[in-house]
Amino acid sequence: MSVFRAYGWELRKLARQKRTFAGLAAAALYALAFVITLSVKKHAGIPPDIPLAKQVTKSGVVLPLALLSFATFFGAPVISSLVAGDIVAAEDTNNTLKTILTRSTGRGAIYAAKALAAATYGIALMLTMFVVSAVGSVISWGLRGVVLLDGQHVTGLHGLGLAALAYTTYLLPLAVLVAVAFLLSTATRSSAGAIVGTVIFALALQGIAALPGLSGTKPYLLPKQFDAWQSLYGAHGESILRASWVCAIYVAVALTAGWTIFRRRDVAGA
Amino acid sequence: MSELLPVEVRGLVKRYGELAAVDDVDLTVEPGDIYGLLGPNGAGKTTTLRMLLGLIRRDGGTVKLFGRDPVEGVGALEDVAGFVESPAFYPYLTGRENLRLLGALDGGADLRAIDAALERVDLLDRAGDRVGTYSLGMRQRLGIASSLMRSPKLLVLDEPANGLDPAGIRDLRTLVAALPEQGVTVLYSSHLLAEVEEVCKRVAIVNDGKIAFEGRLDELRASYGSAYRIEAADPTGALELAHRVGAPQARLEGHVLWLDAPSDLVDQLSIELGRAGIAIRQLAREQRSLEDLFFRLTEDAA
Repeated sequence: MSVFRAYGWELRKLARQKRTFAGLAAAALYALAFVITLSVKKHAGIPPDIPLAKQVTKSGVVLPLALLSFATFFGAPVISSLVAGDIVAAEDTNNTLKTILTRSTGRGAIYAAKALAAATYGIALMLTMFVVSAVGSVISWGLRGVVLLDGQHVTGLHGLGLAALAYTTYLLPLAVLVAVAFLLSTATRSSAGAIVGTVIFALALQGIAALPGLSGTKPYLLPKQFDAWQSLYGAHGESILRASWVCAIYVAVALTAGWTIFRRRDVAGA
Repeated sequence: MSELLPVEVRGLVKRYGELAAVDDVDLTVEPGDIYGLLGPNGAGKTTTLRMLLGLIRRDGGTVKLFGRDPVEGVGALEDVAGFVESPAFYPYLTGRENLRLLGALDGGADLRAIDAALERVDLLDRAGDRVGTYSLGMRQRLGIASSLMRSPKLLVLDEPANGLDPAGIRDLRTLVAALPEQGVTVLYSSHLLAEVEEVCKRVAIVNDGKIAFEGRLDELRASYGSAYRIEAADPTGALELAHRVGAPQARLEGHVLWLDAPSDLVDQLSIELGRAGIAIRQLAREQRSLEDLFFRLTEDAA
């Protein structure tokens, strides 16, 4: 019970901070920018290596997927770490850790509540991006049918459902970034350090995945898990099941490391 | 079964590298005490309190709060409330919201208890304002309210008068003085002697991480409260003689020789001064103020 009570207050705290809404606004603006640019510049298009790129202005259910592909490189690490990277570090900034750790809720419950709140914010970000991009693109290009990567034709409504599932799948690797930002927030006690660290972590893994001779390990590296949603569209070599357990391992390692630090940390002066 | 001691600390040690911030500290706070932890800034008071509240790990010794070790977890803090350094709150929440949050962390917020605590520290009319707009004194009062709403049996206050105006300090003293009657023991840390003298009967004077004195204030006055003041024709010669007769703590302040020693040693010194041909111009026993004693225990030891 104490975890959920603390979790409820973590959410209320988030709801009272400008940073929270700045992140959500950034996610919404990111989606809107794509919708508006592609609506105004009819021949702009998006890079052909993005899945379903050719259909992006033909059906309103494709653009949300293109956003996922773009977000992987930079947007996801930044927006996911905006809150997750701050949620423990802010207690150091405000010097409030000593205030909450001398009440009747243990460190474990407080840590869990903060992790849950950071995860909830990750979900809220994805929901915002999906709703804004889906509504915007459906208004612009209609709820038309779409041809999947395996050649199968589905209706617009079916395509919208698949896009929603794709966003849900994308939450798996996003959870890894949230967990890493959360770990860095705990370890560095600095929001900026956690955000920059998460971006560097994501970029470093992209770099490692691009190294030659690592083809055997690639399916287990984080960047590959960002593409797991493509299996819903018939792409070969992608697996939601594999993404589930690979991401679960990353999350478990990051959260355990964070907990080890948080459990033993001395709460000294500001 | 005898009543459990609110605070029982034995051999407490905290080191930061080579520096012993707290060095073999013993404290015993009895039920119903208003116990002062007194010492200059940086003496180790706050570090001691942090270990008492389980915020930092100790390097040695034992801590028991009502028989329980805070290292075991927050269960040991069940009957304990308070703050170390200045109380800290979320600046973007209102005063009342901050207390509701802390109430939730205590297992559930009773809104009436929250408002009663706010009223007790005269903050009810500002309870709906964000803490970011509060003055330092208001935050201190909110810190006291957040502690009182836990209905503690032991209240730990670290420099609680910081930022309070004179009226606020007076109210704080009145509030603290009334707590033992309500079954609350108070551990009151401050670097201001006058503040501690006003509210506490028993004190521990801390200096350089060590306890320089522990006991009742009247015992402190009785033990160290008087000294002999000697004005001699040759002050330096008198000092050397004082050291020779067995008063190594004798010291010169200008032309005056100060001697903390039993009267028989003073008798012996006066005879020796006569033998040495050093005239005594004045010899008097002087009562020291508590402030003198405090400086003597803290500055001289350093």
